[in-house]
Amino acid sequence: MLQINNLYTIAEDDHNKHILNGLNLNINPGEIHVIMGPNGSGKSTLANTILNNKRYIKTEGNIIFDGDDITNLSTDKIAKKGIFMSFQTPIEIPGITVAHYMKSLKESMTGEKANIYKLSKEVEENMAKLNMDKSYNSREFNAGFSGGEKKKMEMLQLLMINPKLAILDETDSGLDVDAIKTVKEGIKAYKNDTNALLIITHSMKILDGLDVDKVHVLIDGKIVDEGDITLAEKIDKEGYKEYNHED
Amino acid sequence: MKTRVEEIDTNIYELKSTNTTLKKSIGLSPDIIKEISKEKEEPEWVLDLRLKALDYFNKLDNPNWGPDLSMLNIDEIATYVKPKVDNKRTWEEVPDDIKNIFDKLGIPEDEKKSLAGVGAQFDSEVVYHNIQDSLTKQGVIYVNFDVAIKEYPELIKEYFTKAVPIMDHKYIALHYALFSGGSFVYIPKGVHVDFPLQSYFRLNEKGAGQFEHTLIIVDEGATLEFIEGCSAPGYNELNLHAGCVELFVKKNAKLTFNTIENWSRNMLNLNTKKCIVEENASIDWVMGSFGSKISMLYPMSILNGENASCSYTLISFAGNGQNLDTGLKVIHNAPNTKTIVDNRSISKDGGICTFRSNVHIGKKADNSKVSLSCSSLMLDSISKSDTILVNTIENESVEFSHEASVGKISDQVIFYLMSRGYSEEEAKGLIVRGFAEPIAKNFPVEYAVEMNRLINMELEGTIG
Amino acid sequence: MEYILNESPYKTTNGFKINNIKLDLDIPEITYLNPVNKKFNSKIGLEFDKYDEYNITDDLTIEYSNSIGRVININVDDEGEYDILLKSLDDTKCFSYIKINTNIDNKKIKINVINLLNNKTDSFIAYDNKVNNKGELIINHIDLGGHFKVNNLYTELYDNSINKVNTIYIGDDNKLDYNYHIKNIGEKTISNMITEGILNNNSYKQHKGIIDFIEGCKKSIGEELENCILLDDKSISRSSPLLMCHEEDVEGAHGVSTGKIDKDKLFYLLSRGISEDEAKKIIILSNFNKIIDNINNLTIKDMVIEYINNNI
Repeated sequence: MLQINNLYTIAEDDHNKHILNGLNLNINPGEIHVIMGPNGSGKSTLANTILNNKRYIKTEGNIIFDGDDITNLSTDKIAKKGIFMSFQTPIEIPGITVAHYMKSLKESMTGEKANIYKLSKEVEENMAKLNMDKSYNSREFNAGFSGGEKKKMEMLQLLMINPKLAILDETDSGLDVDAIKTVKEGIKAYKNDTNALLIITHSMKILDGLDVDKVHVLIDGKIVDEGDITLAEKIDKEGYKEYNHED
Repeated sequence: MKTRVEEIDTNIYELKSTNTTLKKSIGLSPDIIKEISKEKEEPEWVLDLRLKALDYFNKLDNPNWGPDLSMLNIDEIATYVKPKVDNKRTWEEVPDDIKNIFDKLGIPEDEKKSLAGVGAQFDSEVVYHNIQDSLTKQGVIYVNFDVAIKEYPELIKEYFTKAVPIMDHKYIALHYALFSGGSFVYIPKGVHVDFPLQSYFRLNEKGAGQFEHTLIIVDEGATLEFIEGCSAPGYNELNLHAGCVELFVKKNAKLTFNTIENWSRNMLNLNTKKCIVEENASIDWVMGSFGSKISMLYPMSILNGENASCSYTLISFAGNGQNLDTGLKVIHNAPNTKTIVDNRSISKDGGICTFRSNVHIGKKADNSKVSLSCSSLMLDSISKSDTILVNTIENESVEFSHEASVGKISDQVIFYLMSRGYSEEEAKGLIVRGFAEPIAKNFPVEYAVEMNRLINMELEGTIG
Repeated sequence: MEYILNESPYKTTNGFKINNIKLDLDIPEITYLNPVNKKFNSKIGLEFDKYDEYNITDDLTIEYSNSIGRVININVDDEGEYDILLKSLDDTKCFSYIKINTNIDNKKIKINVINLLNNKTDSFIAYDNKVNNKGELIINHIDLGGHFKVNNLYTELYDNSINKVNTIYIGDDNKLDYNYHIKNIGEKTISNMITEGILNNNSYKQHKGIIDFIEGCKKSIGEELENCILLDDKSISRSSPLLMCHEEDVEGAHGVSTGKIDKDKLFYLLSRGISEDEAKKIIILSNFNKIIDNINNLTIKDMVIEYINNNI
């Protein structure tokens, strides 16, 4: 489904250093992959690079999704092809209600005018799966939301969009119990046999109870080790010393 | 009771010396200019330029904005004061009464400790210029500007007046009519000068004007840090400083230009500074303005090459009877150019601080970034603090942000510190120094100490 | 004919080009009021000798058609919220000059001025305010339509009074000029200016906002925020915030941001499959809605949102 081949990237504002250093990754339908790595190893950059955030420039390699080269496709087209990214720190859009936002989202994805009644029913159903109150609809998008509430909005969008591949950027180690619970509820409602999940994380807590297919260890922009869930458990206990890294 | 934060020797700036003058001209006329030119044995073209500039000075009006300059009568100013000494290369050769003043200011001491070269100007003439031999061997030039006109005519003709034209404004025209002394610096391609070069300007004669010209060329890939210090003892007569600084930073080069200005409170400081910055090059202005009666000073950076950048780290402290009108001007002419500004001003005892900034981002300046921040601290209600900004943006890919704030020291903060055992005065002193700290830390160590000393001197009146 | 507008109360170097703002203006004959003289007042711009006088007690819609010119003086006295709507009925070039005066003593007044004029009509709007004795004046200046748009505001604040001025503008092949000056004169006064705008299609905008703390205005607060988004390479944004402080015991702040749309916001919305145009619209509306939400009349509010949706 997703194939990343020998990818090198630099930051838009610092051309001197490669952040991803020849990264390879292969994700098949139905699979759950996990990427772990110390701070500054390039974890968040990877998610942003897949979605072609202009803050990062690809200098070598390519990204194939469902057989198409998406390396230089614009972000909205990549999203429309079926890749979703959940943000570590989602933006706030004061002045725009959640309902208004969901309408724009749906109309962009489908390319046609949304049926307001059907849409609000769909939003409410998905809210129910995440134990969200309907009153969110009339609140301004993420404006003044707590970290946990913002996470809920990310999961709600995941369910609304229902992508082929979801990338969860959970590198924020300060995730509280509620937020972790929300993410798990989101994953549970989303995941099936045909779609795939890539979780970027620091912490084991989020993986607890998930049927993880593969764990990758990312150091200095390169995958240096791969294994099953036991690898994640080992890192959780011992850190990255084995890879000559302090963190 | 007076609280003293630190023991301060305020007397060093007040040293006057008499009987140091050899020759003195008062007022302004073509004859006086011809005489100065003759005294300096200048080439013909320099005299022509002086006379043309005099013409502009007479034609141009005083600015119709900012501080009132009508008190200045050029006919009463000693426009040329020649001290009894020629340009020397060792301190031993400098006459005792002049040397004594520079000794007290700590100039030769600093040279030994941490400087790559030193120039010292006394009234209209440079009395001392020295540079480490190792730098001379690498082709670095650091000489009295008058000497440079004779010894490096090609470089002078190529660069002199090219950053600051003679008709820019009334007082730059005056400068070009009367310029005397100052420094010429050339750093050849790829040469890194590890320690700063320093020029110190001392205006000793009462009622005199100082018109030094500083021209610095940092060639491709070279780096330099330059320090400028100014002081004068206090008199009742008006003194005038109309200096000019022209800076050229070539491709991949880097220049830091530091100024600590502590002119006496009878000084009109009308200085003009401009820097032309080429591709990948940078200019960093670090400036502390403490002295003078009136200051009008707005260093300008013209970012002509791709990736060129400039930064301004500025502080002014205006006390009783002072009107410090400072600021900056930046023109972004090329893509990916960058400006960062941090200005801080403090006013007390009726002092006036005005900060004017004009940033222009032209059509060609794609993806340029500007971040401007200015904050003002008012220590009482009879003082003034004005911030006047103009930002022009002609390119949509620009990121421009600006923040300004003004106010007093918060009662809450004072209360907090007093609850920790500080007296109110100590608390205020602490906060003012904290306010100035981000600027102070950009100065070389000796100058940061100097700046703290100046802040303490300024605060002494208030804190008591 | 060239007129000098907005002579600045505080002069600065001529290179700043804000001392005297000039505008080449073609004022048509005023159809039912013939001004004897035209002159300019340094405080509030263009002035006429005679005006159509209104003392408004209710909402007001002023309509323009058939190349009409109107010079109107509006006095607002009673407490309440007033919507003043400027509308073109056809696409002829008209001339609109509205002067709004308030003299508020211990009252709360909110004025929403909505400019929906066509893109040929020149629009002048001038506010002259005096607020005293715990009075509060809120102005929502929704400057959407019009050709040349010149807007002046002068407010004197005394004794615990408040003036908030919220402005939205759209520049679409327009020249826009804002000259706002609020004086904090009395103790515990609050001045607040928020301006949100976009420029497109060769527009030129000059925004001068002066917060002016006069000696004696102890415990006063003044704040100014300006945010301008440039949507094309031919538009020019000039902003000149002035913060004049002649009193120690105050808090003053101003901030300006100009440039393109926030990259992180744009990336977020694009990552949800929203197209770039739609994403920009959402971000702009988000900026504008903070101000539009201050209007209580839902019909007017919808009219404004619809206009913005159709015009950006």
